[in-house]
Amino acid sequence: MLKYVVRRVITAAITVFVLATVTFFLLKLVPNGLFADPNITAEARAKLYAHYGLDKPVFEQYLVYLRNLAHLDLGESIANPGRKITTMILDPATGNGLPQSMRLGLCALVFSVPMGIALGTLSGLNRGRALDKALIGLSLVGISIPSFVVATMSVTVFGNILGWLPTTGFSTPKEMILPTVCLSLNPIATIARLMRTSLVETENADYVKTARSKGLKRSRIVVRHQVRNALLPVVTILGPITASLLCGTFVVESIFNIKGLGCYYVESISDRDYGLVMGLTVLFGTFLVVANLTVDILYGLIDPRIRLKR
Amino acid sequence: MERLLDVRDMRVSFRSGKTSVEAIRGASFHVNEKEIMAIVGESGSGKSVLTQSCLRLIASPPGQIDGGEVWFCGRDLMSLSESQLQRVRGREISVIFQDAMTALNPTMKIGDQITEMLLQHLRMTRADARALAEEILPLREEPEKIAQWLQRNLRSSGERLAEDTVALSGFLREKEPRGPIEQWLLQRGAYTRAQAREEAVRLLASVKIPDPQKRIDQYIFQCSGGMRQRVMIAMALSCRPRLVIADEPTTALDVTIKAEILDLLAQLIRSLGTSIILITHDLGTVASCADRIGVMYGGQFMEQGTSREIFYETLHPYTLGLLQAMPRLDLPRGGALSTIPGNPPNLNRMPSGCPFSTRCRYCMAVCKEQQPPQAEWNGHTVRCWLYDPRAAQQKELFDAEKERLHVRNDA
Repeated sequence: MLKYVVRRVITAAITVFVLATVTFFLLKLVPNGLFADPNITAEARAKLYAHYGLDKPVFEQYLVYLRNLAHLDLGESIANPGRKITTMILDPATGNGLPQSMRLGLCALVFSVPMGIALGTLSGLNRGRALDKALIGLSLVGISIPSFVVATMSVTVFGNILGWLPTTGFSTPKEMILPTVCLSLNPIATIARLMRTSLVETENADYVKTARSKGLKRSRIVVRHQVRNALLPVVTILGPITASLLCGTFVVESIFNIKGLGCYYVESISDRDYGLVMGLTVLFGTFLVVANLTVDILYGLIDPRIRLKR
Repeated sequence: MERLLDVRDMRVSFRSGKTSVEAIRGASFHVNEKEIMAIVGESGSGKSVLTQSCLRLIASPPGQIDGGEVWFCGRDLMSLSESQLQRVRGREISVIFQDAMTALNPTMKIGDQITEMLLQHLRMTRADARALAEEILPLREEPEKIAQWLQRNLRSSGERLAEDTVALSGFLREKEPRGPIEQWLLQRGAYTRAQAREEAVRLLASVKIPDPQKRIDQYIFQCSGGMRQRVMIAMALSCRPRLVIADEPTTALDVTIKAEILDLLAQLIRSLGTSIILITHDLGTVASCADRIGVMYGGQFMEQGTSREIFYETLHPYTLGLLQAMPRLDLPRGGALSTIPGNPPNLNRMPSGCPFSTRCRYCMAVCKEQQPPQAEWNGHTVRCWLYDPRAAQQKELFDAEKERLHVRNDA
């Protein structure tokens, strides 16, 4: 197991490095129109270039970028002069940025994973019956309706027409309900569908027939023999789902006016704040890698075949 | 001899879409107490489906039991509710499957898979204690019967058995024995997790698994093929069932390990006084150990009889074909192996007559049209038109062929 984890960690580190490199050079390829404003004099422009270190050769810039990255220093924001990007992302003072996104993401994650697994199990156990068909229909809806439609509709219905729930912010429990639910629908549907398929597959597995031949109760067969084996493929998709939920979401954050990373990302692109774009991209990428790494390790915990392989 | 299991006229079909195929077409057989009954047949002849249907284990849908009775200890298993049947499965009739690698749960420790079965069946509830006390009361003052009962129901043995017998006899002499017996049973029968684990270790040791203390916490993929099958056997025997269905228990194994496992199985079965249905496609496997043999073909029994009868007084052309097809060491090398030409019939297009008619060397006109009736001589049954008085001529040919085989065997 230790060897397995070490190998995974090394692979993950290499992936992050490649990601950082590619992001850097891709952004260098974008025509740098940041200081192209005709109102800026050549002298001022040169000063700005020097300030952000853009006057040096590209390769030197790359080395500086890497060294700073290693110290978790993402440089200075261009759109917000004087503010460190790292501080903007973490923002301990206001709690905006990453902490805000993570709160929203965690809520959605905690809500959607058990929900998805439970619904998928319920559906799989009632295969072919009305309940199963209804759940399949619902999950199809959950997957196909984009989140901006769900979000705007729920704002209209629950916020404006019924007036039950607030539609902006994310600090009080009441404020948390709508964004969490809107963000969760898609992952719930994805997890439920996968769980259902996977559970139905175990229904025909030899070991389930053995379990029945042992005279075990159906509930025990489902919980101990089927669900655990059916969870394996589900765990695989938890990685990307976790990463996408925790790293902020453009649509839900924008619609509910939550100052999270998704919000920043959208703003940084329209502001051409390349430092911030670069920092957020690397952060998202790292998150994805770490989430997948966690899943790999989790996989080992659930599936002894991986854990004990030498 | 007393019949332990009596299966009458089983019919099982499989549905796919609108079509349905009959996999078992009126099969009857029985298993006596403490007997090894072998069911032999080619792949697809319905051996596994038939035996699994007896415990209603086939997946349904697509499988469907269309009719038949399965009498076991005075009850028709087909008429039991699912929860009643759960108490029979594993506890009174258990199954050993062919490929232990897939038949055991890959994500569960070996020990847990055994203990969950013990805890399911041998944990005593208040209702169980009450029911058991009811059984004991009529045994008043008969230490022998009490001891038997204890062996069967509480698995007492050795010193423990003597102690238990004394204790129970003591209670039975009292005026109002019911209450104390229930209390005693609850205490005696409370199977804790730790006890179940100890029992699992003992079971693994009994199937000759080295270092059972360590093995119990391992997973099935960490074991070799023979070891896996031993685990499967230990599990199937854990609740001391009265009947074990061994579904090709050695097919997935090496030839050398095969004999070892079969010996072990036969030995354990004999020591427990359990009966066994041994399913195989290899007549050679059962030659030495089976008491009776049933030969299946196309979802029916073609011939049933004692081992002796099947091997030396063969009645059915199919059985004869199987016997002739057994490889022999005494014949000159290089000669072609004898085979039965053709393939087993497609279940979708079963001949309306005898299922074997398409491949039978002695096939007559009637064979293709009508199903042969079952004929019986002292428990040796056969389904073949050769035993109709009008087929005397054809039967002579068959007898001559049989003679040739046996002369060769004797030489």
